[in-house]
Amino acid sequence: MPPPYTADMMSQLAQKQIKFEQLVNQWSTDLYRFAYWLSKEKGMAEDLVQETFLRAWKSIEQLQDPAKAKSWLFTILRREHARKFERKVIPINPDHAPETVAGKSSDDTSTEAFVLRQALEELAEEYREPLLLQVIGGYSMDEIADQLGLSKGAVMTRLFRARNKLRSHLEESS
Amino acid sequence: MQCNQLRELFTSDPHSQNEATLQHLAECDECAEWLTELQSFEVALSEAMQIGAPEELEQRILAQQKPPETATISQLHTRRHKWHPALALAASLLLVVGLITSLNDQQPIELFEQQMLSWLSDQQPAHYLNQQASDSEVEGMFREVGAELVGDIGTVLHCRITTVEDHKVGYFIIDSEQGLVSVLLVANGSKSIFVQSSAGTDNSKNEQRIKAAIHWI
Repeated sequence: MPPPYTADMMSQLAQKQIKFEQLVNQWSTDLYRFAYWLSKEKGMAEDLVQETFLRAWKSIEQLQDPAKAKSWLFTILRREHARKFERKVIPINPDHAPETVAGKSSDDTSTEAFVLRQALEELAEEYREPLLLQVIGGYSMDEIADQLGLSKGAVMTRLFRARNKLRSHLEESS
Repeated sequence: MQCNQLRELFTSDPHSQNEATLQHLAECDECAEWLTELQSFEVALSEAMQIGAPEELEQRILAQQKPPETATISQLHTRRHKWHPALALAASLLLVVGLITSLNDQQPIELFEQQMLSWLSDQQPAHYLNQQASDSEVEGMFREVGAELVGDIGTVLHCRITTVEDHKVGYFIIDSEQGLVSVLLVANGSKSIFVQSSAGTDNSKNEQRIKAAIHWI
């Protein structure tokens, strides 16, 4: 016979539900942005966010400190992206132009934003990822180094190059 | 600190500040001007990354939070019914059309029954359309109110123990072929069962079916 599902257990479930909903409300947009700039595809970005929260729901008990929620979710999403990326066979098509996001509703449609988005899409992942973690995730240099398994010096170099490449794009376009 | 050192540091992290950088910036106009430009770039970069998330992303996440592997109820499950949005809307406009204890239209409904029905009417079962309760949740809820399932009632989307007007009750929502059915099991006192069906469906049939499937211990 299964154990009775007590009022206490129901209350725990309700608390879990509340905690989860707070995470979704607070972080889904940031996670979506991070996922979009990682994957450069809207559909993939939403899948990544959905998967991230599905995993978060399953292991929400692991999150004891609410202050670490964002870092926890970003880590889940990064791993999920890496897992999907390993499976995905990327077609090589020289005619393929990266999907541009300029002009999306509620987004900044200025020329500067357009150029920067295009430059971001073209930026190699090794430069793009630490930059996303810093700008969207708000991570410190040490935290990025931890996340990516790199030395602090290597992270600094990548961020330096990432910004320089983006600034060059901007200067060339103006 | 040299100019190139400062610029390298700030290009890597525009928010890095320490005594050495502050001192250099106070003494070097060129670097101060360069930093102002970098900060403008940083604002533009941050804005360029502000991609709007799809509408209803949050709702879609919340709707799928229960992993499918925990969502099968072998004893209760018949089949999952996919709801058309219009049907879901109709289901949310629930109409109380009856209750297990047969009521005479000419007689006033007792306060207790009114309270239970009123509470049922205030619920929004359509909110749980994309969920499914687990075996243990359903069995636990029945046990908690002193009842057990002896028949098939269909897929249970949601169940919980709650209190209505100081009565401990079991509340659950069934996804039936006739639409959503909300059921309230009142444990203490009269051991009553209240059933509420979607508008336009036969509540008495649902009552019969549910009543036959529940046994008070």
